Amino acid sequence: MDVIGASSRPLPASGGRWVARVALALLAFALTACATLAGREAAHTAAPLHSGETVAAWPGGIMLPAGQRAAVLTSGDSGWILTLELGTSNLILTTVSLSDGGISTAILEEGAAGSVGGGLASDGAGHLWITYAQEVMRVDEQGGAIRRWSLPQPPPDATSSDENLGAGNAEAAVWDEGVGALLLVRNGDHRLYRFDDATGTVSVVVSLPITTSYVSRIAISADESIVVTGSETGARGFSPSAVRVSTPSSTNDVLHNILAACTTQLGLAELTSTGDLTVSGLPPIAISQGTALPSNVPFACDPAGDAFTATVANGRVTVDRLSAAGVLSVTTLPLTQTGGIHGFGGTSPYHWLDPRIVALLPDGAGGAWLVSEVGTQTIEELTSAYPSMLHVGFPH
Amino acid sequence: MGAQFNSDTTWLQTGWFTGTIAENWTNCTFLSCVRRNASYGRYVENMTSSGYSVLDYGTVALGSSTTSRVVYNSSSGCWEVWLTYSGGWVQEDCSEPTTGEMVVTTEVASNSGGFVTLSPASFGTSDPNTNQALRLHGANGWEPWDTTLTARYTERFDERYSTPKYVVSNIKAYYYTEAYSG
Repeated sequence: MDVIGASSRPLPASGGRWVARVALALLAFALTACATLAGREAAHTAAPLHSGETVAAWPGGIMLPAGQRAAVLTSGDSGWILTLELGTSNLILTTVSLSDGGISTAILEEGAAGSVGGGLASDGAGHLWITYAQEVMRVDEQGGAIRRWSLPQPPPDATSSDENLGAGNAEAAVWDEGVGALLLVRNGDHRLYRFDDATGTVSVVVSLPITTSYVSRIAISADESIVVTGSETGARGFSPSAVRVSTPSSTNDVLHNILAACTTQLGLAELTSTGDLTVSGLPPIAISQGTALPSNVPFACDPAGDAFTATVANGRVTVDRLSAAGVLSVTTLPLTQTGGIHGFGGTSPYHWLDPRIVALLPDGAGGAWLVSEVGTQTIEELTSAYPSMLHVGFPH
Repeated sequence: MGAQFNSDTTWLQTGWFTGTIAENWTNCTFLSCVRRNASYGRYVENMTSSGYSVLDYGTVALGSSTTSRVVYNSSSGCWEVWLTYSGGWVQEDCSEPTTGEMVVTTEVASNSGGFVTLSPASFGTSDPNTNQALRLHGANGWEPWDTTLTARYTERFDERYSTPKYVVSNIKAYYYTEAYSG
């Protein structure tokens, strides 16, 4: 990665959504043009100890097969990526060395049924657990041996329907060390499940007052409370919420407007839909410049207590890292510009190529890998404007 | 077919194509362009505030038909493209509003300015209450995309009188149409 300049981060914006978006686009061009010259002071709900911005470039990176990244996982020095390959629908598992970028890839299933998302978890005993479609798979991380279990039919209120075609598919998963079992959620469902590999059975841990989906995440904190994200049940549209399940009582508290959660050594890191990032109850820090975040915003934590987010707007990728010490660091990458793109309403104001970044894999050393759906494919012989994975560092 | 958002500045569309769909004719790269010569392919084109992408999802046979969906999922907050009726979800867009204007359309373009012909395309079928008809799904279930449509909104954009003009034949108003070169 080539670092070509540095500046402080731009000011967050606020106000009406559409008006703000146009204003932000104009602001971004101005900031991009003078990125190496201007110094700005960040404005936050609570000021971080320090903020700095690094402007990076795209060359380098790793190419993977293009397709849906159904799930990603960081486990030790390895990153795991589950891909439904574009064109072939092969279900592919890729292992990435987070230190040197070395990769190995295996096809788990050829022509897998189209699905919506999935889950990856590690039990810390050499097994990788995969939830996908209507299956749980256990992969031996060393030998690659695979064992499969079929999930029971989803409950009637979580079966595929015109309202949700992908309902019932297995989604996010996490290994619960406390009980030595896999926890998972399903698409369009309202339950947290536990899978017992000894008996091959699935039981309901707790019913949830939220609807889970392929954008849901599960995080377990040091006190063994479990946080599950989803959409508030009964809302007309997507209404981000999280549920904190206290074990073993299985009582739960609803946390409104929480879009994503992950676990750090300090406790849970939580991200709201409007971009406020909180780590373990510390004052929130605004990271999205006032822009509403997409429901599938990339969000990840590392063991050192860093929380990472990636947002794409205004012609650039912005990767934020909030450290355990409360230090906010920012790295940005410019997007590939396009000519004017004509739509029904005239030329779109968004004239750059979408890198389709869907996940982050922290490297355990303070940096992170961006994961994109872009990659190699055999349908057409086209070169790619972006790599599938790119390492992003931050100033110390 | 697809959904339009934010005053037509963003969209999610799917369909079949031949030739080239491109934001840049001179530098056809992955995401910016799909192209086929003497074959047809399925594509998904997505314009969001993050930028533009167009992807080729594989070959379709000449004369074949498909039943696709573009649908909002309130559980995830994402719009989804399903290439086939009950399976084959391929792409999502999680950054759009909860509502959009639905559209079916056929387009032709000439990079050189030379003569091009709009291939005949049929949308929907004669029975409005079948999976193959153009119809909209809302809180009260399926609704035929016809002249009595009152509770939903569809895109209004018509270039039939452009140059070169083309013909829209409403075999059944709104839910079964054909388009071809005039």
